[in-house]
Amino acid sequence: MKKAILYKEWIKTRYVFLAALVIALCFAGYAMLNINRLCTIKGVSHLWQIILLKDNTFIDIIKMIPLVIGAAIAIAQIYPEMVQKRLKLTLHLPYSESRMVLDMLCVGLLEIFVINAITFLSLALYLNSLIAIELVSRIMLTSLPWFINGFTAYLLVSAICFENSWKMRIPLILLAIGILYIPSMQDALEAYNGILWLLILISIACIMLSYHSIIRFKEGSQD
Amino acid sequence: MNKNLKTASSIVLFALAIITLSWFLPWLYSFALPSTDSSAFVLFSPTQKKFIFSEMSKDNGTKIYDLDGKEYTIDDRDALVPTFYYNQLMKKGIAPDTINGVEVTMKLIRHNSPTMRYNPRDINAITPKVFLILESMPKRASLEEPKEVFRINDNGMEFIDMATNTLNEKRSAEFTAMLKKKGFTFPARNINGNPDTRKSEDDGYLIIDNDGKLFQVKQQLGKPYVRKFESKAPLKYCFITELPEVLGLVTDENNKMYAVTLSEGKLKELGIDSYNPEKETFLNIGDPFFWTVKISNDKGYRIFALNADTFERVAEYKSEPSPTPDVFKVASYIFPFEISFTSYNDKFATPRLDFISWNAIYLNILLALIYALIYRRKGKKTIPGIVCTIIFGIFAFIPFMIFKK
Repeated sequence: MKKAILYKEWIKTRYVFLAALVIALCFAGYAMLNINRLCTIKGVSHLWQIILLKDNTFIDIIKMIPLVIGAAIAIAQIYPEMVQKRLKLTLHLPYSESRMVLDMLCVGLLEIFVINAITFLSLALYLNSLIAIELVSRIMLTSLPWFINGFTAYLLVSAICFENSWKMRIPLILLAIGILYIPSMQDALEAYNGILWLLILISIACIMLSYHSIIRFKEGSQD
Repeated sequence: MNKNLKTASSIVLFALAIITLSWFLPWLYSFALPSTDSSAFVLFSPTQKKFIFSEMSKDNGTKIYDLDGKEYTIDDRDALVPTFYYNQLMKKGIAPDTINGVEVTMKLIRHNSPTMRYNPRDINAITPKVFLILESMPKRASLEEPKEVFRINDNGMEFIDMATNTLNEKRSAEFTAMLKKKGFTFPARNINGNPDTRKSEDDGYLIIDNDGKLFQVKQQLGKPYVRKFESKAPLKYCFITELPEVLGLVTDENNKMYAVTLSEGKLKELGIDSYNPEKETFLNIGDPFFWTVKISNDKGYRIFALNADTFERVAEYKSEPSPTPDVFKVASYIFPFEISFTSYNDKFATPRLDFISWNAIYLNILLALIYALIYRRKGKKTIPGIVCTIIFGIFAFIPFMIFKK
């Protein structure tokens, strides 16, 4: 049963996953080409100087990409379940309901992890060939909250999609905006180093919001 | 799905909603109702030997006065602080030839009027662990773009060639050996320099070692130049100024501040009471005769006039604690606390309780009564909601009203 659920989720999301992977790599590639262009025109030393004196990460362009990808995968995975009213059927399968929801979410989270890991590692490896490890870690630590935000966005949008009533969906959307704004509050580099654990904790807590929406769905809450 | 999951998911939803609202609502309130925070611009008059305050007001324009309560016009003020407004006086053709018996020129004033500003925001931040280093004795007249960076770790001082991203082992060994010879204890506690090639000369970096000892380190013809400055107490923070006579300013662990003098090669204590770089803003507007130092924090500010040569205190003024604006007083009756993720005093994003107000308890109790009235049919099940509303006030009441079930 578990394999069947995982396969069903993969079927639903595979095209969005592949498109998201290509988009993420395109943006990462653009950031790398931009750095390469600067190094070719002005020299590698100029890149170091700008990073050190202007606090420029050169990868700001990817800031919102994990968030958009997380939201897109959640919509691709959950929205059809709700529109085509398949969730009720899914919950009636001979399999633990809570386990079923967790398996569904894990598929999405795994896909986001793969995309984020490939993007993160490709950028880190490229930067490592040009600049000192201190600067690589400075830039990548600055970008970590953006990647964590991708997982949070996925879980929040999943909860919104699972929700059957607009009366509840709107407060959830407002809550999601508030939570997803946290990694944009401070522009300084490495500003979030001290609360990366909290961002991960919030992300994990957001799993419960999907359960909340599904419990309401089972109780028959609707507009 | 079991009942526990339902309870847990509801608790998570409410907790996230309360946290988000306790940040968003106070932010929205202060954004919608901004309060003016006027702080006087203060200069020490080198001719009258007294502080001249210039205070901007949106209603009454600029009010200029001294501590005796005497008010001045803008023209009076220009004449009272001729060093700061020399350009203006020259334009009018009334610039003095001498001040306090010393012949002054525009060049003299420009070269001897240092302005320094140090903000806790720059101290309370994660800064890069590698530093650009200039060649202090370049072949050409102007400074050249740096080719290397350095880091100081437990093992010593390491130089990295930026073009190849490789370690320059020879230079690293030379600088490390020289630093060890001068008594440097690795790693560094604080490093401060200004690798800007637009300046005329380079004095390298001021570095405080792990024991709190101060060193000047620069690169001359690719070789190390290291100078040690003796200090009575272990030092904590250094700020390079590269003035003709003052290499930089340093603070010790007791928040005393010293000027690092170049000709005498020693630290001279500044005639200020204290300066904590982690919590206070330091602003100095100097002229050839006096430095006007303003140290400000959340509670107000202190002003010190220092002799520009000896750094001894000539005059001082302490501001009254600034009154709480009315909008904040109203806020303290609405919000029991405030969570903010950012602060003017640092560059970290971290949740912090900005204030806890007991004044809000009245509103909290009122909201709890409304809650109890609305959900009276639920009996004992309302108790957690009532308790939450009494503690978290409006931040809990709103989610309870929205997520009724």
